[in-house]
Amino acid sequence: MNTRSLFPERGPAFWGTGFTALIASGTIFILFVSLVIESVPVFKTQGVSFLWGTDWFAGEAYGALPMIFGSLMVTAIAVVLVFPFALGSAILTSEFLNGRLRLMVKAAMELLAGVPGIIYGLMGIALLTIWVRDVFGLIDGNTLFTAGLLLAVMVLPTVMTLSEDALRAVPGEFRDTALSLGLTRMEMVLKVVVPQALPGLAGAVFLGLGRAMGETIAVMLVIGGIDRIPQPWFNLFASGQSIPSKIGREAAEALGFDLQWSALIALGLVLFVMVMALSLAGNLLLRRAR
Amino acid sequence: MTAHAIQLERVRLSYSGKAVIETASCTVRKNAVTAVVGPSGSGKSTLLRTLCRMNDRIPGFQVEGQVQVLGRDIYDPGINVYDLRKRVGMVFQKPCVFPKSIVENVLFGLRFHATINGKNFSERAEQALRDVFLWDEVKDRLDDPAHTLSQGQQQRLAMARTLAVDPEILLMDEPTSALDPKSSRAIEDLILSLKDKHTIVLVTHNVDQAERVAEDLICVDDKTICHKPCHPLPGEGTC
Repeated sequence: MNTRSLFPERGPAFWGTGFTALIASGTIFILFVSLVIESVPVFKTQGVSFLWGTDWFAGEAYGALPMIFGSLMVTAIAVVLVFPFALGSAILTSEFLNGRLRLMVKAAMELLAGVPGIIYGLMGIALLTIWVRDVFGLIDGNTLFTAGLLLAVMVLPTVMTLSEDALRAVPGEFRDTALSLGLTRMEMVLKVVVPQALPGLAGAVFLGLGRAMGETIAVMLVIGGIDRIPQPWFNLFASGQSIPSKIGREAAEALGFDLQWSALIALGLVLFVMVMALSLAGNLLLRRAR
Repeated sequence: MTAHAIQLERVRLSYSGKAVIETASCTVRKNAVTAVVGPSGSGKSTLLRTLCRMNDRIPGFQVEGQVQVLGRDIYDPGINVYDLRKRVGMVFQKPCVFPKSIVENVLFGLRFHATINGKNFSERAEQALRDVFLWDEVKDRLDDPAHTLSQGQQQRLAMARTLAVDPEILLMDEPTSALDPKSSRAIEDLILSLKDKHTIVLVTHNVDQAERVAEDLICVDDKTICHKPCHPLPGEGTC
């Protein structure tokens, strides 16, 4: 009988690459399992109320909601701020710049995407917090808004280059057809190219957000570091806390204090799931776009 | 009033200085079908796209000489290229439909140009679909997505979309090369039915097709072109 093997060729190359692939995916799996195991004590003590508790006092109560709220809020602010600029610059680069100039802009953006978070963080403290304080007349410039704004600046290059790729992936026939019907270039871009690239553009934003949500050091420096949900909740100009900044601040001192450590690991688990969901959604959309 | 819809005089087409067509002088009669034939890569499509300035976007593309379309030099700086493309429509090799309904595809170009009301839009859509003999096949499912149509139907839909803008000249770049023989014949019949109202320039690599539908022939080869009637009278020259 002619049966087909799942792995048709099992030479040394197969085993070699298979081993490295196993290590790579196994690491993610082990990471996830250890996060789950280490966060069990806090869930045992507090139950799932850990997720919606609003108070965090080391040794007494651990409530993750202010940090979850802070993470979602700064990410939402970042997306609202980054999308129009990323889309605008991606459209300019893909549709209106030609040849070398386009490659130069892309190269610059890709370089910017690699600048370490701490550099952005320092820029945030030195400039952004002061601007936000002065422009909006605040007492303190360390706010959720400042963190969101800084994240928007940080993820702009990533979102822009991925958006540009999505726009360029739209087949030339669509452009030709639109232009041949007498549309202007701007009409062609807005009515044909952007709608065609929409899944890819959404994917770009989601992947950028994944990075924004996990960013620690830059956010830690400008968010204010207060574990509370602002009053009213939509007050963007209040200090807050995100999950990575909370972990970044407390991890060193909590090491060895069982429950606090477990609570921080549980925060990490929540972040892990949130970022994974964003990346998954982004990759699915990008794949659909291709 | 000239009887020519298109007139080329000593036209040279090049990409970054490299000539695709070294010298071209020819005319295209109004309300006739003119076929452009020649081997692959000879510059047929480049020549056709030049007639509605579709190559403008390509870096390094250059036109020298005079390209007169409907009595005007279309490479004159004062020409409004968007108006030109309304008057000179183009249908491409691969049918390209937008991810919209059938009727919205037909009206896509028209919506950007016309200031007519909703009822007239549906009349114009019906007329364009009738012109390409697609109306009877799709009249009960105008709101279905356009990609549910067959390739041949999609190509006719693309033609209806171009016709809805009401161009005087229709440029077709190998419109049957992606289609089966039956759909190709349907497009050929359609071309013949359209020539009363439109001037048609058809690029094709199929000489039989050119002889079936065209009155005039433009042969592109070796960076130059020559021009002859498709069915020459005794004593008339050939290329």
